[in-house]
Amino acid sequence: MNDVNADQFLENKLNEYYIDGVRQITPIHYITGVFGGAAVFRGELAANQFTFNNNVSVRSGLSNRIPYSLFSDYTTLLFASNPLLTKAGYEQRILKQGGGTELSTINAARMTSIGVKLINKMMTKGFIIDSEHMGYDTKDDFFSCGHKKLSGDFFSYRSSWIEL
Amino acid sequence: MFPSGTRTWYRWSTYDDESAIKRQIIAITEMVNQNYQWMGIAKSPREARKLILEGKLAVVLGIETDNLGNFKTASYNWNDNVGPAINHWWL
Repeated sequence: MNDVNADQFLENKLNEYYIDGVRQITPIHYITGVFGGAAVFRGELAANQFTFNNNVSVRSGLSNRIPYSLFSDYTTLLFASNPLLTKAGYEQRILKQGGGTELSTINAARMTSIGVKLINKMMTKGFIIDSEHMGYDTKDDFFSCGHKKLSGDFFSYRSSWIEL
Repeated sequence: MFPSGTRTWYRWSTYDDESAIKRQIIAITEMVNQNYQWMGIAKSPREARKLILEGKLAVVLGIETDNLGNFKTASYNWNDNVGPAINHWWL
């Protein structure tokens, strides 16, 4: 999918889901994808991303006083559960953006232009949109879409940027 | 939907997200149809209100998945055959 053909693909797929009876969609889950960034705040989620052979791109969350640390997750949890995941291999897969460090936990990925198209189409069609699991910056972009549209977007049962 | 007592369903089933979505929509629809006495699928607020006033469970179908529609960009390295890889990490 790309920006040129996204409109048609998304339109057809959402219509298909609507006919199937689907009325609620969580467009982003554990893996950062074509629509935007997932909430990477825990090592387990970073490892999920690695499983799909993709790196995790993070920036500093210190200004947001976000207490989680991918690095401490690695040392306290991931290594114990899977010694095959070496510290060097783990750190190598974390791309540090801006002031990012191994302590950074904010996914640097924003909502993509295709993600914006999806959200706008979902609002037009009247889907309930669950923003759960969106990364910090991606969720900011999602809010912007909602404010522009002034439609009934839905905010789910917990804050998405703290992914427990 | 999967055989009980086994964690190896991915060996015989397609496990990309879109296939899973379709299978689960079919499964939940069949389940609701088989239990129409006390539940129904609500496709609008009006239908939800009607079901609830009848004392039934209003079911709203939703999708929560990593790869909605199996959409991905060419530059993104997405491994649909992730079942064995997850075993590598977590089992």
